[in-house]
Amino acid sequence: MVSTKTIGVIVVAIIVIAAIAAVAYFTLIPKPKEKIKIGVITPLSPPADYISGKEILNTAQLFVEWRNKQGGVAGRELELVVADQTLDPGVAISHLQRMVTQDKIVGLIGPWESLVALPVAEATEKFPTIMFCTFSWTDEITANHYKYVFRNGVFSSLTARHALEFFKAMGWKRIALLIEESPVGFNYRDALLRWKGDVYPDVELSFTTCALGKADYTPELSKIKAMDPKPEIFIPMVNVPHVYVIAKQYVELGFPEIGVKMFCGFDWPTYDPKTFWEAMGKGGIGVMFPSYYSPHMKLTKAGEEFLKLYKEKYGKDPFIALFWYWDSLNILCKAIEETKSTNLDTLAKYIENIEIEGTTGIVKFINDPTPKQPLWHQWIGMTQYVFQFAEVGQEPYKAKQIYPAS
Amino acid sequence: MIPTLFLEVILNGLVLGLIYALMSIGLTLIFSIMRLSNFTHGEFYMIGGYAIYLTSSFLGIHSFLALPSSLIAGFLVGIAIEKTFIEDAFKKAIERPFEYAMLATLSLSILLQNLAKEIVGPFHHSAPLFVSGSVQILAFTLSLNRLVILVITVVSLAGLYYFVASTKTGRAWRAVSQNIRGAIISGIDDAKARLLAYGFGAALAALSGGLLSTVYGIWPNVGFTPLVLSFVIVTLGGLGSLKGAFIGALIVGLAHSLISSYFSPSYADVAMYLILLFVLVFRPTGLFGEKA
Repeated sequence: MVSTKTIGVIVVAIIVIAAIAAVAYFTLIPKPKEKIKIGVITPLSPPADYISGKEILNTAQLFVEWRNKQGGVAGRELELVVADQTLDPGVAISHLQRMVTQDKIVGLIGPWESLVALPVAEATEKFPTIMFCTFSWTDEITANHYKYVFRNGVFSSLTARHALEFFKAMGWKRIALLIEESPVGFNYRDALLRWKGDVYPDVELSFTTCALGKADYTPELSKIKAMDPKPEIFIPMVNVPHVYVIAKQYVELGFPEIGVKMFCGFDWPTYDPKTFWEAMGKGGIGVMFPSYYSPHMKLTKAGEEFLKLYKEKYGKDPFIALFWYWDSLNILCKAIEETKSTNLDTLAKYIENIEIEGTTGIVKFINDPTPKQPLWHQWIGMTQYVFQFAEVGQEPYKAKQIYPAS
Repeated sequence: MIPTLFLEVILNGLVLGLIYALMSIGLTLIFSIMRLSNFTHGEFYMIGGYAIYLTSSFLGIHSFLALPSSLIAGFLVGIAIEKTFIEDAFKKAIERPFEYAMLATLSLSILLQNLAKEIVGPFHHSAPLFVSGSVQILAFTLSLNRLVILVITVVSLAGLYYFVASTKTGRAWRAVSQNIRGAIISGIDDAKARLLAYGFGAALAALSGGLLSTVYGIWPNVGFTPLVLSFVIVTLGGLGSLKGAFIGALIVGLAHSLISSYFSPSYADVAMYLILLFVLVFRPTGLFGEKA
């Protein structure tokens, strides 16, 4: 019969062996390094711009795949945490909160539409992470001087300045704008007025406002058409899809016949060229649109590599903001590698002073601390190109680049 | 001398008013016969727009030849909806048939918008103009396309007036709208009258969608603004009054055009609702509505 003492010895021996095994497991056996998590909050369902959102996600996935094949960042693999931003800032902020508090993300590809991107940028003050924006245009995203938010792309005021430079180069003096009553319209108007003195004091700008989401712009367009002297250029600064409605009525009311040319405030003809030509028909000939992409632009080595990878995987060219998202992810990874840290303050400090070869040129941020001005954590190295359609159904980037001369 | 802009604004207001009239008269027709606030009306407008766009682009035919597809699509979808979702509310002993039917149309409105997004995508589409170019009338120019729309609208309204005044179905509609019990006793098939009224109302909304898609284009929730406008117009004109809907539409079209052009487009919507409230305060039945 086994004595109680023997049982006690066996139990103690088991406990000791288990303890030694546990210590050995946690100290001696190498464990895989924790992955670096990057958040992506982007539109993935309507009514938000889910088409662009899907491509942003594609770009981020491609980057992670490419980078992990090269051994990751500082020996750690990258992993994406993805969420649908929707058009509800509350939903997007709750995703940010979860990503920061539970997933422990180091950086974030921020929302697309300014309507959501701005509140999420604000929320990074409470749920801190390094956030990148590219095509979220509202000035406030950088003008509010958030500690961890960087914009590696354009903003309203800058596009307005570029447009004024273009009008000056072309010698056009009378510009009529139809602006919608939203940040898109008002930011553009305010920026044109702000830059006018510096860039092109001789230009005469006239603004007609229109309500959001209308279907009939006849009264506003009739008013512009009746201006005396007639404007040389008409700019509809209204969001999609309603800008197509205006384009159709611009043709229907006979603007092209009286010699008033259309300059698209942004690159909406490239979004869906079929829709553009359906709306404009022959009236689309002569229409000009600005873009930050040009088939004639020179890409860097990094840009050529991204273009090749993207085309191989998705069978089409990436649009310009995707180049900038690629750069944003590269910037974040370089910051982690160089600082050997995922501490947000360390990373933000490094990124503020970074100078890196991006896909389209050198990327470095301007950090002017003057309150309420948007050149804070802002890159401005992009070029605005202007194209003009010459025939019905022409592909946007096969149109002639009229500025700068190619 | 009357400024050119003023004449253009008046004419555009009239064109707009007449097209609103098509839409609003359809809504009024349904309301007067079924006592139903039809929230699917905006989607009939949308269906009419897509019908002309898809027919003209797939068959490669002129918009004018594709226009009947708007009427037919609106009528058929209207009939299908009435038979499937609304008829039972009036036939079976449902406690609150009007509320049931109204909620059914509201749900269908959301369903149809989402179906459109899935089927044709969220993008803006445009049916080609009926005719391009403009015509000089006195001192101002008018888009030929709008002139064509004006003519089609006037002919359609005249046809509708004749139909309601002179045909057996039109007489049945009037009887049902005035006194349903009396109409049934007189041997009128009230279910058929409701079915046809809903189908015709839907067809009118689809026709206005088809016509306006050549000017405004079309997208899945394009019907929302015309729906709201139609409710304003029928309330202004008097619920259930075809004449009221016609006059109300002209008032709204002209007021909207004038205020947008001479003050600010932002004031146009505000002014429209102010006119509506003003009329309702001093004449709660609307301009041509009858007291109970």
